[in-house]
Amino acid sequence: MELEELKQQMNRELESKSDWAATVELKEMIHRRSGSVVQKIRRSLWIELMILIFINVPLAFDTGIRYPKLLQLYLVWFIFLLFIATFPVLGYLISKTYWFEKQSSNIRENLSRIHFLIHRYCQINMLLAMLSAPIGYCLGLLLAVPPSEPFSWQSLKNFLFTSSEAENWISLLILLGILLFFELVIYFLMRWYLRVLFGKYLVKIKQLISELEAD
Amino acid sequence: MDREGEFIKLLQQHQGIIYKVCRVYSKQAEDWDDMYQEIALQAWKSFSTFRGEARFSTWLYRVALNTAITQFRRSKKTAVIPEATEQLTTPASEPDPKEEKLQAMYRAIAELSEVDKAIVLLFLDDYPYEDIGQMIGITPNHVAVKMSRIKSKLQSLTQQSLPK
Repeated sequence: MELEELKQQMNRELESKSDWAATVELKEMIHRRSGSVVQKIRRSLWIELMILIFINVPLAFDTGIRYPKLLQLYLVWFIFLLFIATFPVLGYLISKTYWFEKQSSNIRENLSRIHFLIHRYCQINMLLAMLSAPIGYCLGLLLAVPPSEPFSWQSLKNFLFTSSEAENWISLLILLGILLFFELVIYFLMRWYLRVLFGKYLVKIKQLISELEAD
Repeated sequence: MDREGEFIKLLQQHQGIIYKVCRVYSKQAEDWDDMYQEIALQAWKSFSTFRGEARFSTWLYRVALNTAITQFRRSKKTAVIPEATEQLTTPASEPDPKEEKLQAMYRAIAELSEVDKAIVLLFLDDYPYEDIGQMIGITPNHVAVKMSRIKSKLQSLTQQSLPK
């Protein structure tokens, strides 16, 4: 069987086909929800952006009113840094997804763009997850200060380190050890999750790009 | 005529392209409709970039192939249903050797990489190597080299799958 015969067969098949999609069906098709990877990433990015806004904006207002000075300072910086670090990146990636969708580039370019998008998406999610551990951990320590004591550096210090200088070091090392443990757990969990989500797909895209770059 | 109406009219005239792409790229019966719809949808989303410099068929091929190649499938453990290949098979008491060869060819194409499938499809539609190169993003020479490899691969795969 030669390709020529296959071509003839395909053409015969097309000629004899009568159940083509009607105008109404095509109209419906173009207004349905897309299942493309770009669309899926965009949806996730929008959700992340919304979560950031819905958690941080009320928190920022609340911080100004309720919390003690030290905690206020910490939360204000945390919210500020989170916005600075994530908003432009999320916004940039969302705008890229809209831009990608409107392009009708060649296959090689398209594969590279999709690879770039998924890679960046994984990076930003890994970064957010890794940042959440020390931020949450420090916040936890700050909130653990007994409410009976005035909230200050001294009361925090009293709460964390109560014994001799040597034991203070041990306490600090234990605290850092716990933080490191959390970071490692989050890192491996996140890596596993992102691999489940995009692992095989990314490998496939990479293979296709290398195939086109070979020779 | 509005933009949407113009697009639908063009799409209707060129549905054969989407059909061919789905035929080659759908692995499971349930994929077919999803892919058909996704190609139509992606074509509509990027229709604003179509300025009529290239033929609509060429532009649609590009969109359809990009959509099919980069389709994101959750890894489902369902059996592969060769619907596309079985569609042509007529239940005859004696197998038609020509038909068997055709099925073997479809099975062989299914074994090719996603990029190679695209090259075969464009080749079957009589696109010159230069156009194929432009659509894929490689040089015409590279297309020629790839095409020659694809032909020999298809030949050996077809022979392997045919009953001796």
